[in-house]
Amino acid sequence: MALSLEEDTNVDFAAITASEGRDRKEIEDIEFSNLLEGIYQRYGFDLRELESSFLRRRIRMILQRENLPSISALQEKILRQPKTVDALMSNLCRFEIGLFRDPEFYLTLRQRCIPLLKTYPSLQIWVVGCSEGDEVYSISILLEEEGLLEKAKIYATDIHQSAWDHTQERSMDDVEFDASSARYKQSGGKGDFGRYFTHRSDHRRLASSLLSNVIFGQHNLMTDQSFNEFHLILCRNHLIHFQQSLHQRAIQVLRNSLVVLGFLGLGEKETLKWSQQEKCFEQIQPNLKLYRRIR
Amino acid sequence: MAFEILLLGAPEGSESSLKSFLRELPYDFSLPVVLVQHSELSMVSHSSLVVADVEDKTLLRSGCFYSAPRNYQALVEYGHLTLSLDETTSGVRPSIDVLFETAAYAYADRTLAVLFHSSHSDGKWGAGILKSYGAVVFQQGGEVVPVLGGVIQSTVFQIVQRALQSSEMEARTSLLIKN
Repeated sequence: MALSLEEDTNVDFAAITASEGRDRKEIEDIEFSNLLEGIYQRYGFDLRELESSFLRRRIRMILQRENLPSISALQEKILRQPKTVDALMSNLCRFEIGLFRDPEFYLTLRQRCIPLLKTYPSLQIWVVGCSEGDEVYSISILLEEEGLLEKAKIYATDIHQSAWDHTQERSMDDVEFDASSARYKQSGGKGDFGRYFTHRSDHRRLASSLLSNVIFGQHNLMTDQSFNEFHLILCRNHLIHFQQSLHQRAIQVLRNSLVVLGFLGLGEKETLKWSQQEKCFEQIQPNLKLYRRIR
Repeated sequence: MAFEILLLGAPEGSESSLKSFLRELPYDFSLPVVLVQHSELSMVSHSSLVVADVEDKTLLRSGCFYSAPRNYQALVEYGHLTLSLDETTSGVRPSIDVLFETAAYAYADRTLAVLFHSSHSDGKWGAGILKSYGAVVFQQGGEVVPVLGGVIQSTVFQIVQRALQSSEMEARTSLLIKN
């Protein structure tokens, strides 16, 4: 039954019909695909296997910021101005993570993995997708409290150098500090959380001493190879941004980067099931995405 | 079928409207139903649909109910849901704006969405995006009473049901529904 629109006096009509909406989508899908192809051909950055809605949102934000009328207009700018693609790559490192995100993960790491990691003479740790440093600081604090920071070398990587700049300047307001402090305690944190910060007037900045054993490097899990062997790898909430087709490759790289019996931590809603490597890992605890390489 | 997905946006304060709606959804509802709500109270028990856990790349199936998990953004891709650590928007994560925006990219005019009434702003911008891609969005609240085939007042679910049954939706409208 058709809607009897004439009888409605105060109805807000959408300006776009179904077929106009469909046309818009079709055109933009083509533009989006062209943009990614253009970036790949011109700059060698392959973004084509990132989840597309995730990437579409970031592109939309850039369009708004740069006041561009279409994805094609952005493509024109990107192909001709390298600093625009640089801005895009930098933007792709930006996430809101939080220190000690999913505190149960860190608690289990402390209780089940640290005792085993203590047996190694030195520790190599890889934090994939360092972003603003939240996972780097979390693991540094944990290692420091367990007396392991001195013999650890933490490799923090991301696709763009700006991640390291942001990590070094990581600060938070009181609201975020209180929330982080609560998660720190839930993760088994033993001391005064405030001592890891230097206090400014309206914010607290994470102490640079926590980065003294951290080395930053540019690395793209989508395309790059393994570069070292590690005892612990944290790759939490990065695979969610990859299409399923990339998981196989990414987990292969992670496995190749882990010593046998080394530990891999993923994000709470992530899974190994899209890869053939699943059988090479055992899960430490049900419902927790902390794994040990057994093969 | 004109529509392939039903989105529900329940901002803070709209929990009872959401509950009523979920109770009316039949177990054999024909579309996947994806909910972003602000409240931490679980609503899954109010629906007779099959509840699917939302994880990385959960497939979207007809008659399944997906409730976005806390502290992630939930994004719609064609055929599955994606999670991301994109920042909090409008003070919330998951946010309805993100769900709606990404569904516009993935499903465009094949999207049916309900935004339940609340004084919270989350979802209003996203509803506009959906409409600009030809989707049908029902925004609950406001003074206007629609006339739908002669029926003055319907429940939100009845309006959705009518939209699903309608085969002549040439002009897509969004109707402000009196509670």
